[in-house]
Amino acid sequence: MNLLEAWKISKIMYQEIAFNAMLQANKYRLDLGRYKNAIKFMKMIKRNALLNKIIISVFLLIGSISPYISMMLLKDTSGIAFSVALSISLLISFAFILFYEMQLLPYLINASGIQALRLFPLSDKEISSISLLTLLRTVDYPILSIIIGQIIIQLIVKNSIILTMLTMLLSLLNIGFAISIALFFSKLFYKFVFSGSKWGFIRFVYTLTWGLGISAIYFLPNILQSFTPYIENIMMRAQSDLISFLLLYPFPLVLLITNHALLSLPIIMMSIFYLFVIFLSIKDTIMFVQNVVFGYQLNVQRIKSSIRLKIRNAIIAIMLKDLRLASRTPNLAFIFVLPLFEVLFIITRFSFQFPSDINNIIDYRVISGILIGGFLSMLVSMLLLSSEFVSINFTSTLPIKTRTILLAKAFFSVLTYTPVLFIFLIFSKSAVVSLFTILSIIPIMAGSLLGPTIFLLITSKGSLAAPSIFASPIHALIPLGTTIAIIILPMSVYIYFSVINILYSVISMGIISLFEIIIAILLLSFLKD
Amino acid sequence: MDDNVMVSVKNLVKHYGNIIALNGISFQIKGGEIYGLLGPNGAGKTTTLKIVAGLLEPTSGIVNVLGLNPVSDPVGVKRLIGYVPENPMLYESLTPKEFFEFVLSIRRLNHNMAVERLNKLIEAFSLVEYMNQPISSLSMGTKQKIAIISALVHNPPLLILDEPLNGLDARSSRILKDLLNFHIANGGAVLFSTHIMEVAEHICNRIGIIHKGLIVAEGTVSELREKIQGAGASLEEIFLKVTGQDEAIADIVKALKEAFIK
Repeated sequence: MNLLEAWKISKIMYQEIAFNAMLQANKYRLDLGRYKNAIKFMKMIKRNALLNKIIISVFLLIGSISPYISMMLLKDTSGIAFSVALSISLLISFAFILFYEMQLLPYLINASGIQALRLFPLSDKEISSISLLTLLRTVDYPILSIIIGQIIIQLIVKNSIILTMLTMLLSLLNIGFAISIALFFSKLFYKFVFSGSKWGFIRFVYTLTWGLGISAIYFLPNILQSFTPYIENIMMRAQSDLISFLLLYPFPLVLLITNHALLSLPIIMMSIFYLFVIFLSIKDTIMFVQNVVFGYQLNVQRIKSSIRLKIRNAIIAIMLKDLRLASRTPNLAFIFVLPLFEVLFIITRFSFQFPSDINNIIDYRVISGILIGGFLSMLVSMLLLSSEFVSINFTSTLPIKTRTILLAKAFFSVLTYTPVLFIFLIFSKSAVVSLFTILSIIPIMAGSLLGPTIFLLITSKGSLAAPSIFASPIHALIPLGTTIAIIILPMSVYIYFSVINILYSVISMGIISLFEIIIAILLLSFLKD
Repeated sequence: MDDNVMVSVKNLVKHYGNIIALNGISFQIKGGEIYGLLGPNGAGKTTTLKIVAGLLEPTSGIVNVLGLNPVSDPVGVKRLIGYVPENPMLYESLTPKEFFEFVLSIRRLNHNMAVERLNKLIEAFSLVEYMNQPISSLSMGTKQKIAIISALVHNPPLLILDEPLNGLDARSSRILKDLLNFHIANGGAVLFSTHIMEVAEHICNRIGIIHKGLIVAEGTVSELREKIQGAGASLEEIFLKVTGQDEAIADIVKALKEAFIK
């Protein structure tokens, strides 16, 4: 078999892996009895997998060239500015590739997609080549976008072919390194999560990395604004104690090819060290992928244990189940980052100077903190509802009312909002600010209930059933719009009446919030059991 | 209605858009009985089971399960039944232990009794060593065992099992069969669906042959033999005869033989 033939076969293997990755998140929507829909569904999943790859490639292109654009906008094309831009560009590429590959690699490691190759008259060497090309296919568009981006930008900025070639090589090594790290995490996830006692910690690291990967899209503009001058400052004050910061990946490698003036023995040593680590990790990755189809790389241990069970209240049991699912499902990992994100958002907005004066309560920062925190928390109940559909054909056999399930999810949503509440309660000295914050829980509970309730009423006439895959996007937009309105309405009432009287405005906000929760509870009764 | 009747289905009709899944089926199941719904894929077995279990609303017809109407009181019905879906999609990232904790909590069972019963079932179905592994890493048969245990653990009077032997090893199949016999000996009832003749013949006391949304024959295997004139000894032959597939299959096999001879 020649390389071209192997490349063609690897397309099918890649599609299988991408398909499985997407299917995990959507299989509940596939009614296996309806073959016509199943075909449409599979086509849609393949289309989405391709779209996913294209989107990440576009993000990568933008992410990898934006530090240079920022540099040019600041009209700072000094050697240091260029080194910083290249470093940030590599870091962004690294983060995106890591995030993207962690979606797919667990399915490559699982090897079920490429196991079928062993049924065909192919030699072990041919199967290994196809496995390797399959891995390459997972990042073909992203690699192309990075290479194109780097070539264009380097030729524009430095107009040096040698530097362009070196930068390209560094970018490729960076991608290989990111894939190796993603593979390392995926192997840990597969090996430990599926077996031993260390799984809790490893799983947490995995899901947290996932969540941070998602957040990286938000943080991208901030990286450009905040990190760039910081790193530039360190480089300019080369003698400072902070110079050790430059020993972190990828700064030594960048300095090695871009800024010889800043080279020192530790930086050269670290460059060699990183090159060595990258070489070993890429080699290990290649070896692993070549052999993964033969199934002897992973040895999942089975453990024996005594069975002690705790029987809990139904709502607590659902919340605990959701918590466990979220901690192990990459799609839901954002939930764990959410409270941290909300706290960081509020703390950075206030710079630790919280309003203690009653008149400051209307401060847009308080309102925006509650609005953003509240809205994100309200989304959690919708996210958890979609996770419920995965096992709907089993859950629906249990004697539990739909409203109980939604109540549990709404309580979970409110729990993710509590860090916001605590931040205001701890830092604010004002009783009215505290009352204002406590009252804000009511619309968040109402929104967390109303979003999923309206969604079920629209899509499945109120029963706990997965929506059709071909349902109009408007079905998701209406509940989303409702949750936004639910949190905005009491705040607007507060702002409007605060001009007249602060206490009156807080009471008005409370009345509106109570009105919202009453409507949410009333609507719950329209759900079918 | 007979006091011992646990499930009563009358003129059940179910339409999916233009497709008629059930076209007026009726049957009854008494305590101490394993009633098997036997039919080819797409005959309407799963739809019937889902309606009886309160998971699906019928287009028309009357269903009574242990004195309750599954349409108006689905949660009440679900409390009294144990249901094993055809393809149980469990929470894949939970471990069996966590999954059972969830099920027992939702069913609000007495702790000591439930845990003792569960431990016995886990041991019987050789699940102990898998209790701390995520369900996603388990084989189809092991997942099926988890679904079966979840249906049995609260000792419901009525079991509704949709192709429960799918993926089960011989040992577990035997244990399940013995458990079902124990269940009916204690007055319970079982509604069982399968498309495998041998399974129906060996497990069920009474069989309803379902074809294109209708029950075309009903009775014990010996009653069916008597009813279907000309049918041979096996349930398979009876089934093919009542569903009118015997001649068609003979033609297909003849055509296949000709194709292979060429």
